[in-house]
Amino acid sequence: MARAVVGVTAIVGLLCMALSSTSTPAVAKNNAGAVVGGLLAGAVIGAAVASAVKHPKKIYVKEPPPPSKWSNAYSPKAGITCYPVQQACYKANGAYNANWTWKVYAK
Amino acid sequence: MNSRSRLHRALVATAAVAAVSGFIGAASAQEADDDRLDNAWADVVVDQEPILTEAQFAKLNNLAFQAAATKICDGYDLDQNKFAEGLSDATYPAPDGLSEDEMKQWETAVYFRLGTTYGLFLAEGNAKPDDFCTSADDLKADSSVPNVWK
Repeated sequence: MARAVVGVTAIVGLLCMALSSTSTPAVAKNNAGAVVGGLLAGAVIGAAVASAVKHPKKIYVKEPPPPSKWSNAYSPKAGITCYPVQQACYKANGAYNANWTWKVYAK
Repeated sequence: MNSRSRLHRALVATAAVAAVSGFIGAASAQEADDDRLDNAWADVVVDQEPILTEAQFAKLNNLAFQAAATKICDGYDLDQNKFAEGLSDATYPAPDGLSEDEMKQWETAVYFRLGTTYGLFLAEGNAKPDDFCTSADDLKADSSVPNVWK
């Protein structure tokens, strides 16, 4: 499979524009395509957000505290904490550390 | 509207929503002694579908961090070619056996996660820019870790 499945130049150009700011959306031409694309994107985004919805529930007994979301965090080096669930490492002050993120998870 | 402009608008909207959400959540989510937006991250990653491998998610994190650094820290600009290669690397290989529609959904999910991560880093970085930009300096100074800046 071609290496640049998502990272094709055109898309990357758009991403760079989006991440670096100034650009103007193109004029709409093919509305049918937009509707289909919107449905696909909407389904994905809706699924991602829906899991975060908190439904009220009836409480009969006091529940135990939930397990920590970050209980499996560990320190590969003094002053660095890595969070496997997030695939990310941070310094002791809480600033993201790209160096250790790369070394621990991406290398 | 063509696919380029759709994607562009979707990504901008996603990043904006994520950034705003990050700021709104910051006050309640942040530990007293910590710049990291723990609860906001948990809302994003704890029930994340496995659309990417662990290494791919980590690479996407670093790309989003570097994109946010260009907004917050002086002297940083994205190199478009390096960013292209970085995004390609972070998303390769794509899942096998997907239909055309499923592939679009996967791509959308990847962009959604990238935009959300970018927004959270914008929130963390703007809350504590000195710490955030020191981390950017650390990355730029480490030749053993790739970056996508000019």
